[in-house]
Amino acid sequence: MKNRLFSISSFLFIIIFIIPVCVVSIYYIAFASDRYESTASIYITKESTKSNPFDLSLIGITNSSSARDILVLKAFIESPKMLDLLDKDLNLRKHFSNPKYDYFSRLSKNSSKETFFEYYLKHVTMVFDDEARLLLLKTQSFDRHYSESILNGILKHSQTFIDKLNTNISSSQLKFFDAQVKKSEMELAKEKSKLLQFQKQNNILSTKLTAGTIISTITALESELAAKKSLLSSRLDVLSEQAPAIRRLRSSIQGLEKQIALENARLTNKDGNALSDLDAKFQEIKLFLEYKTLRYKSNIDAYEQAQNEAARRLRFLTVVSPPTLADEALYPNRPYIILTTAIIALFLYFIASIMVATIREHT
Amino acid sequence: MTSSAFFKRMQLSKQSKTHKKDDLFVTLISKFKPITPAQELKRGFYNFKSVIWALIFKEFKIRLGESKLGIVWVLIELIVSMIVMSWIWLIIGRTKIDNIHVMLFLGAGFTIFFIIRRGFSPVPQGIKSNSALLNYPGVKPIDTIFARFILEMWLHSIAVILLFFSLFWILGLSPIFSDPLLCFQALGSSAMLALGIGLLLGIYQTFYESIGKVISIITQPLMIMSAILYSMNDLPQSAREVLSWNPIVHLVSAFRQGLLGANAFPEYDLSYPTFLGLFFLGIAFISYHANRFRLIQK
Repeated sequence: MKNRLFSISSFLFIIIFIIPVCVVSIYYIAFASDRYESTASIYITKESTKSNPFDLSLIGITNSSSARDILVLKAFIESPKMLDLLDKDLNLRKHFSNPKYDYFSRLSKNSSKETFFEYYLKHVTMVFDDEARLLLLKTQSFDRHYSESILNGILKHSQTFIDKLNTNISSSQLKFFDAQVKKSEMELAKEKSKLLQFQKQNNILSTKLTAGTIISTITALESELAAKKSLLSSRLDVLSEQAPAIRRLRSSIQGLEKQIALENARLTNKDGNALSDLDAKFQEIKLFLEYKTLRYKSNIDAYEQAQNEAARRLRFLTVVSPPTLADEALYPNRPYIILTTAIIALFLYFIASIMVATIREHT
Repeated sequence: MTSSAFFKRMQLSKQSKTHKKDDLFVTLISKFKPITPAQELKRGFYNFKSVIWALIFKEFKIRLGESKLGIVWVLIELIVSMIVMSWIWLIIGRTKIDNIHVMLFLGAGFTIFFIIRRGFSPVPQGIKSNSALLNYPGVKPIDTIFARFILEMWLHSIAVILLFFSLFWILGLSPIFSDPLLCFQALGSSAMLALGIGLLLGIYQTFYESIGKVISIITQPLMIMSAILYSMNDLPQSAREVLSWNPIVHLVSAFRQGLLGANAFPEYDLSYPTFLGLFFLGIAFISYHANRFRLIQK
């Protein structure tokens, strides 16, 4: 009876504990290929950041803008695009499916793109440090130099990705303002040419000046007329109506009056060709010119501001620690794996054998 | 010859006689029908199964007999706690956590949490409440725990089905089942953890009463610490690192991931609660095996 019980539990012990642990240890000690790890850490800086008036980091809500950049980069590194780029540069598939390495840890030769991508994700791990905003990159491969070169490739492509992001941002933002400035420039030139044309057509530099000269002429003529009129009235006391001096005076007064009427007509006329109408047109042109100049100025200001803004939004990839060259194969961690397997197997054995013993007790 | 020496001899002869009788019985039986280990296991398993079935029916009858409200409450508790807790979120104005409707999110969390909580509360008391039955030689202490565990899990699964069915029926919310296998993995791991905890506590609670009281105090803040009511992704890294020592957090996250397609938090690792469950179950089995006779005496 006792002998039989021993036999069942020892059978279970062999099946559950000894065989799995032996298989795992033999595989890991004799066959598993060494994997070398290379690590690097990076972070993304911005040119200058406006300090947020509501600093929420005190209550645990972190300012997510710069964290987002690095998470975007993380998403890029763990994308099939990055795998394609690396495969093109370093021939990843060839390295990982090399029959020199053991069957279970290498990539099978005819594996699909998806399996290859999954395999890539298993060998490139990233840890995002929330507090320091650092991204810790780790790559594993079967060769120490190769791990380092994979990591270098990742960093290179990340750099180009960030650069592209920068140019995209600045160009898309500046494009709009650039177009605005050019448009307002053209409009300003148009208004200026309108003014020139007007000046040429009407032979005046400025309606204000012309009006000034006309008015001063009129006043001069008026004063002369007044002088002549007073002279005439004083002469009429002495001389007769028929006297040649009086006649001369009268004709010159008539001339003056005609001239004054003419000059007045130049200022205001019902025909529409008068100086007042010209002045209205001139003022309109001038107003438009002023308005366009102002717009041009403000557009240039906005353009400059956008340039500054774009410069402020530029991101820089900073490599905190460059890719390391592994000195020793850290993976697979053989004692750890064998010990873990042994512990799990031992607990499974406990559960199974005690279950069997409990069942036997029920007979 | 003194009287005491005579008495001793009498006892000795009696003992040897019974031994001989026993041996004779065994040899007789084995002559008629030799028992192979396979047969023995088969018979033991049959008895084990029938004892557990009988205990399940007995427990269920007691549950029904105690009060009708009790069994209704077991079925409805999940829905009520989900509604009450999601009400808080809805009053604040948040209808979605991790892009998932609050009610589904909390419902999935409670589904896992209640499995574990049953390992703390009604499962370990099985030994004590069935102590009268332990006098029968066929009933072992572990059977009571198993029976209670199976009954509790059965009731819980009905409650879960009720919960998700009523969510679908009333609000039109249904889980997307993005990874059904992961759901079962999470449920299985939580059941294993609950059984391990239940058996371990059941054994030591019968020896030391105070353990039960201490445990009930310790498990008070368990719901808050298990990311049932909120998402781990909303917490800062330092808090996440502390909370990820709690295995329930991983189980809840795995279940939400498989059922609702929620994103797991960065420290998530399902193998941790699974191995912890295995560890607890192993320890519980060992301590049961070591203490099984003492338990019957108690």
